[in-house]
Amino acid sequence: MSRIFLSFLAFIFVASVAAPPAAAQAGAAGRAVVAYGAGFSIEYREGYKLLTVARPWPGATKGFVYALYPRGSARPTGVRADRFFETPIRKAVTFSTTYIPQIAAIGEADSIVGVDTAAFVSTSAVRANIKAGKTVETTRNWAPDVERMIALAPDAVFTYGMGNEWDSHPKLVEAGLPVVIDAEWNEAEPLARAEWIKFVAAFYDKEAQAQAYFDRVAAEYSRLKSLAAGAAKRPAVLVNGPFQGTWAVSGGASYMARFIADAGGAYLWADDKGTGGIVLSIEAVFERGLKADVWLNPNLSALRVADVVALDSRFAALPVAASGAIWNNNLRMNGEGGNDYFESAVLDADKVLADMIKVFHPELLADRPFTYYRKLAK
Amino acid sequence: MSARRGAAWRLTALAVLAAALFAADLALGSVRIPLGDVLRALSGAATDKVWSSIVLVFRLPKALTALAAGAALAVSGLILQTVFRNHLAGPDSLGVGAGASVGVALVVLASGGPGSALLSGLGLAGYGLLSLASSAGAALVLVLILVLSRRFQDAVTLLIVGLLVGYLAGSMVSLLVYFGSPQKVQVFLGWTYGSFASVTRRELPVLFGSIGLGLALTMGSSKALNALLLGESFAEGLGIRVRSARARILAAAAILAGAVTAFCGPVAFLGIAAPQAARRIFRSSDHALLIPASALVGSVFALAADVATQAPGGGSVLPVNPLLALIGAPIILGLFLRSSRSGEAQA
Repeated sequence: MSRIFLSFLAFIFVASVAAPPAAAQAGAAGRAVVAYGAGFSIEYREGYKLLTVARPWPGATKGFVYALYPRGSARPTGVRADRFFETPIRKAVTFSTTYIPQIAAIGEADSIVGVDTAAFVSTSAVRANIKAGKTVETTRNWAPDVERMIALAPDAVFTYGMGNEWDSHPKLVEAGLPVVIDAEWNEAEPLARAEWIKFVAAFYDKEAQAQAYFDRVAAEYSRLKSLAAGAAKRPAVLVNGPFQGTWAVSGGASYMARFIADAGGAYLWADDKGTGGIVLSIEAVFERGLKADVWLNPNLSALRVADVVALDSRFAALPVAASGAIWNNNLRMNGEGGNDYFESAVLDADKVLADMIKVFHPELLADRPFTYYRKLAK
Repeated sequence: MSARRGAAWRLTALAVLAAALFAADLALGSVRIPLGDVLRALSGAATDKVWSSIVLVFRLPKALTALAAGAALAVSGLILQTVFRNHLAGPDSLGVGAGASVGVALVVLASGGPGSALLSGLGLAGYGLLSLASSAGAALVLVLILVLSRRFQDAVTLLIVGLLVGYLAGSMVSLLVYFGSPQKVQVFLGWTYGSFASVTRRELPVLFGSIGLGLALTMGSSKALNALLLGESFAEGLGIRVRSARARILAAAAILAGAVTAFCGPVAFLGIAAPQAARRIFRSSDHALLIPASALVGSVFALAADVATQAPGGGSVLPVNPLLALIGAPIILGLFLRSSRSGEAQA
């Protein structure tokens, strides 16, 4: 009895020393709060912080835990983690362009010493570093160049996993590289995706800057969303384009579907429950597509309506094609194949929403220029 | 019942089966359309404009493409098996499919540079360029084989040459895939799944014209084919000019396979399997019979696979290439087992 009581007391003591309740610390200076449902958590503990990636990829059976402790201090003991990091990190390698604007937003663009594909980068500070040779490409033939990365000796390699045999992260871990699995792509909510800036910032001890940037994005997103909610009509929205007799559209519970709904559009596959994509027969898309008022993202490179008709001439018969209400998210191409939409749009979700609102309800944002979207030329 | 009447009966049965599958291909689709409305759409008396355009613009070209592509690949396979006197020959062993793949891989994977137009889907090039590249690749291999066939008299040597050209093209494709970006590789792999659904009504005349030409060339060569089956010296003894006949026949095979590959992607299996099935069903080596028989068997398999692509329901579709072998291989195995049991297995 007394033993149990003692153990209980000991537990209380240890718990109170080692792990102050996260809620009590929430929002304190330099600390980030995950508030928009992103699939990671940050626990601030005495002498270290614990980052947990709960959903690294769809169907994952286990998450990843990273323990971050101040540079120069002793590594925390008795902590279970996939990897320990000394913070702030000083050199990073990114395996997705989407991490670059997040790192740049907290003023750490110069820390990026390696990127997966140099040509795809749009963030100007990093492009300049690539040109100057300060930032190098860390892939060869689309596979990670492990030797080059080891030579770079980064403090963190930000990458992602898909949970299949194509994943390169196990190989990188095996090579001893400080791999961080970032799962922002697995979020179905735009703001949850943007919120991953806090995850990245934790490695730089710059949560306060990340929190401030994100709060601005979230506030603007919410303002724009209520603006769109007041619109009288909700145009029906068709997405993507045909390929070899099939047509993949975004699921009804996907990231894209959420953007369309928040921007005051009526997504044609809103009745679908999936968060990913669905491959449909072209006749199924044609039937629903007849009702479309707006057509988004027909093809990455399309600039003119004729480019879309060239994909499959039968879709020229859709009223939306005849009316020319086709919009593409390729306004910001970097001239080397990179599209800033696939880089900064994850973080700047408010700008994507503003673009979509301007597409669906031009009168609501008449004076605002487009960031990512362009109307296809006739 | 005479052999001739038996063959006629079997041909009729196959034609009826093909017609039934053709009807099923028109009637079944992601969008549920009552049979009556499908018929009304076909007769031009439709009241529902959406249904009418789905039937006429999407399903009819798809069914016609499956019908024609199945027939073309089967006949192409049949004549190659005869010319090379090898039942393992087919459009793929001639390198036609691999040649087409090189063309497409060059367009999809190796292009790029500024703008990287092909990163998503096929970009500005659209399918026109894809078809062109595919046909050009197939034609290039064909010309190479034809030139070499003048040099090599022996059919087996020619078959080996075909295999070598196929390997050459295949390794070029795998190098292009290796150096291609993941997005482009995905586009290329998408093409390799094959599809009858992407051919539009505007493209149908080109597809049908090429296949018609190929079939006409083949039918006109049925005597030469019969003679070649007995050996080249025997054919020469019958007064057939073997070299020119062989060139004509190979040209027909390449036109048939090249046209289908250009429009539908590399549709596998039919070229080798359909002629085998036709031989087992008809137990004949007369090309006047085997050509229409193989064509019908090919159409039946292609239509059956196309109907099966609708299996998931809810608007989702399966790729046609895996379904072809999934449906076809057990049937052909069954035919083999039956003919081996009856002791009439043909070499």
